[in-house]
Amino acid sequence: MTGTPMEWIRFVLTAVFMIVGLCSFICAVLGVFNFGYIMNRLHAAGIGDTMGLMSVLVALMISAGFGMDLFKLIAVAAFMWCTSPVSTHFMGQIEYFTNPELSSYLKLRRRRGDTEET
Amino acid sequence: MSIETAYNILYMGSLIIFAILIGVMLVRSVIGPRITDRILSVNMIGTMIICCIVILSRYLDEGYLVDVALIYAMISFVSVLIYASTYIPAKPGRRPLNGRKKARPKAVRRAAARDPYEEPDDPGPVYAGREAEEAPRARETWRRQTGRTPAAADTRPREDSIRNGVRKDVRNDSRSGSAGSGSGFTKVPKGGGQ
Repeated sequence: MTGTPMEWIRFVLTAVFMIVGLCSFICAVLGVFNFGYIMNRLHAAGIGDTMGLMSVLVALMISAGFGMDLFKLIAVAAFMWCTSPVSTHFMGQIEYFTNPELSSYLKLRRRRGDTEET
Repeated sequence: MSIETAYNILYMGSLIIFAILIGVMLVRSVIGPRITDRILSVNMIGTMIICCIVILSRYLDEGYLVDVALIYAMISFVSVLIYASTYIPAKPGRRPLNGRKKARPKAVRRAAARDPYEEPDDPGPVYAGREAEEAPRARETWRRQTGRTPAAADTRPREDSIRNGVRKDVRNDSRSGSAGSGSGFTKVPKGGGQ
């Protein structure tokens, strides 16, 4: 056992956040395989996109300490935080527009721009 | 056990688990029944690869690998955007992704494109059609209601007619008998009268 107690505390925090992130990713993958339809799978994938990635990045921020790496990791976290909900939304929209049997999976309300019956 | 060894074991174990998860998601992207399942699994693989690259940058202690992760995040986002712009059709009344503007009525578009202070090269279609046929009857109605002569109509300021487009100008011109001369398109300063 070498290293100061402070360093070991940092290591334990890093390990905890990393394991939380890994568990989130495992939950996301299990959910993607368990759910039967893409709209449910989007929910499962969102867990990995937000909670998993954020936990892993927080773990690495703790282990990196103050410096240039910290700000780069914050940049990655901020970027993914902005873009992953947008990608999820677009995936749901692709499903909405490409699936002709959508109403057999979901209960649909008519949107204002729709012309044909769904 | 030194602290470097502990960190190495943690990072290596995480990388191995991420590799297994990426393989599992690859299976999902192969067997996914619809296109959206495949896009979803590829997007999730991208997220996991970003995590892998970031962990690797701490494992190797190389700071520039985080930049690579940032670029990877941007590219994976752009790929989803391109898929979306390929598969999402443009609906009426909705702004599509490829940046075309919302469709306006043709008359509004033409009026917006026309500069009222500019002399048109070909005023032909303006004088043709229903407007030219209805002009004499409208002139008679106007004369009966106001009791003024058509010549008095031309002396009033033309500011409103210029602001509203060419059609009222045309009516004024045809009223004074000079239809077709194009004098309705002369440049009039704002607020000025003739």
